[in-house]
Amino acid sequence: MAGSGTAQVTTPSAGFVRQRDGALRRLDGTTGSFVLGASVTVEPTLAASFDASGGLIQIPESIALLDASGRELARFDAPPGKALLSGKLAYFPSDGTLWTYSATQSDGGQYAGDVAAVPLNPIEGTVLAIGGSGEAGVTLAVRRDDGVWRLRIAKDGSVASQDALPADASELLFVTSGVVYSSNADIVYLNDETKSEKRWTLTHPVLRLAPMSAASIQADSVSGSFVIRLDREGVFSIPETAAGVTQ
Amino acid sequence: MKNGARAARLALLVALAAGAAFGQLQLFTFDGVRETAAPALFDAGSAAAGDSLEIRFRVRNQGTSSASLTILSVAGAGFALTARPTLPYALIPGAFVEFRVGFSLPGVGTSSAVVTANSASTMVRATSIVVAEVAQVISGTRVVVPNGATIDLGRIERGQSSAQQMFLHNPGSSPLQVALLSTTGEGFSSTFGPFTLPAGAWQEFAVSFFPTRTGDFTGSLKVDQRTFVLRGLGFDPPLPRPSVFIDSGQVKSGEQHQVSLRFGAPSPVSGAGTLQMFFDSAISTASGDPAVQFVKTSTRSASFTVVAGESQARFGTDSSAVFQTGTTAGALRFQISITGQGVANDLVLPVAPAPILLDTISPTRRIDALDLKLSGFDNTYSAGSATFTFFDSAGRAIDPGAIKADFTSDFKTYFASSGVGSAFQMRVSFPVSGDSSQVASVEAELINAVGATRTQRIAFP
Repeated sequence: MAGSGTAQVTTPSAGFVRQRDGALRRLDGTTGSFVLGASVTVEPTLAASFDASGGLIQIPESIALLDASGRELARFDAPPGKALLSGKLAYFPSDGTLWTYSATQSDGGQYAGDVAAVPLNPIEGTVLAIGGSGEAGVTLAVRRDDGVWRLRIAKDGSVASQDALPADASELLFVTSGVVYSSNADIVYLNDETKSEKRWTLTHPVLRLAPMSAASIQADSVSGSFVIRLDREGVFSIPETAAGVTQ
Repeated sequence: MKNGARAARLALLVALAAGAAFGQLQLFTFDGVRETAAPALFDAGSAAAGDSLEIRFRVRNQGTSSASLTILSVAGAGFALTARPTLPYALIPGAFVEFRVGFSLPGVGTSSAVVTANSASTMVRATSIVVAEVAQVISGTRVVVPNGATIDLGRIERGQSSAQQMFLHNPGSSPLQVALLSTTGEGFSSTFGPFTLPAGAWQEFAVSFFPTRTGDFTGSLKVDQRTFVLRGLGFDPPLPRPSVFIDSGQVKSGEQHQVSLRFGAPSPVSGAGTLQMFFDSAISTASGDPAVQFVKTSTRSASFTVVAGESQARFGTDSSAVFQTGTTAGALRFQISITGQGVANDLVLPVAPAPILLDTISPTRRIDALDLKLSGFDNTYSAGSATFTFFDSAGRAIDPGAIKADFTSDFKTYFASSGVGSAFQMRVSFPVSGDSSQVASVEAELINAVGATRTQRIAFP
């Protein structure tokens, strides 16, 4: 070990939140002591998903890839209709296609975007959420008449396996260690690694769940927007502007 | 000479016209609705002794040519002209002019008078009688209210009632029958049946005022021939001052709490106001903290409304408002401002200086370095000293043991321009000579002015 470390002190970020008017903002501060930052995009955001390395956002007719600070690295044309996002994946229900996005930095510091189709055979049912990555395999949550199912997709696009998820799940997200779903005003985290369940309850039914950072989820209801930290109890309110924060 | 002859001719014409007017002008009585030819003797009724009775007359030109009213008089004890036209007064055919005769006698009795308009005349008769006097109590003394005067029943809260103590007095020497005592007008009432008031007696009664709305009220009190104006004002009582309640007895930095405004009893009125939050920093170098705010507004002000009958104010549709305590030691002050009623400081919450609080800890391993990302806050703004101890997979401390570091200048520079209070993210990198995979975990200790904060042993992935 070297004798000492070097430190860099900066503003902490709790993630990115999408407001009622579609504006995407950085949420600065620590849990329970948030300060809304400036808007990240000029255009309204239709969907957003963030993890430790950055995020993917859908803006009208485009998908944009952002770094962890919210800076746009690349922008891609996108099929119509609202997309389901997770990590660097985007699924378009309008045509049933799945895409993975990336950006590489040149020696000159410029970023070049790249998009690749992920093989996916036609899916029976309504896709509620996507997870995983193009390389490590993709996971889909699908609602069918007989319930909600988790489908693990093989690299050739076929369904490799499937298992049941709670049938009362309405909003659903795949996270690194499991799945988070909402049922009425409850938010439930099923941790596949620890085989445990964690539950949070809002005062009103959950309208939307979105990954806002590696370990936090934005949960929206009619009464406001909240931060759910997967490693912690408690529900934390997200500050609102005049436009408010919601789906 | 020529001019003098012309003037004489004009005077003769005027005299002829006046002569014609004396025959075509007639007297009428008028009750406000109907006009009736004045009889030879007109009984105008009665008036309370000391009060005034007004009798309305009209002079109408019943002829086919213009006429001039030149004589208008009334002669008789207690009678007088109270309103009259300026004479001479020309009347075209069919036109009329009104005049009024007042009657008032200080005592009881009947009187008559001759009313004359040019050559027309009538005898008018009126009687002065004893009627009950109405008195108010002012400064402990009964004060007779003149006929037609205003009785002010004051300002009364909407939904409340007041009763004004009044008296009837028989000023005469014989019993007096009071036939009518009633009120008119929204909000006023007085119930008193016909009764006999002995000579010289006083009888108490009350006029009630019950406003069911805010604003001015006007009505009347009638006591036989006398009428008095009733006035009152209904108003909403001031909004009672609510108390500030926090969902926790104590607050610390980095927390979100709910504040509510409650009344001891359901509020009798609706109203509105603003709850404001002020922050008094205990840190001389940090006067403000943007994280101290209401989350619904991202400001330190939250509007509230009060609905009559409810015991709690509403913030929008919610019964409480979420606020953040920020990340700076000091004191939070809540101030209620009620619309139209001023402001008052209602609650002060101290936020004590505390050791550094760590919110997230993220260790990462590189080939030649180990990184530790710590986020948290230091509400004393005095962070700097730190100690890191690395351990191998067997749990043994790796040489050189505890590594001390001083990041005071880094924190000082950061705090000076921070836009999030004392919240910080510190990324510490430790170069590793050798195989970084041999390092299994780390313990960190961060020190501020209050004390030390030590992490648990953090495993590197």
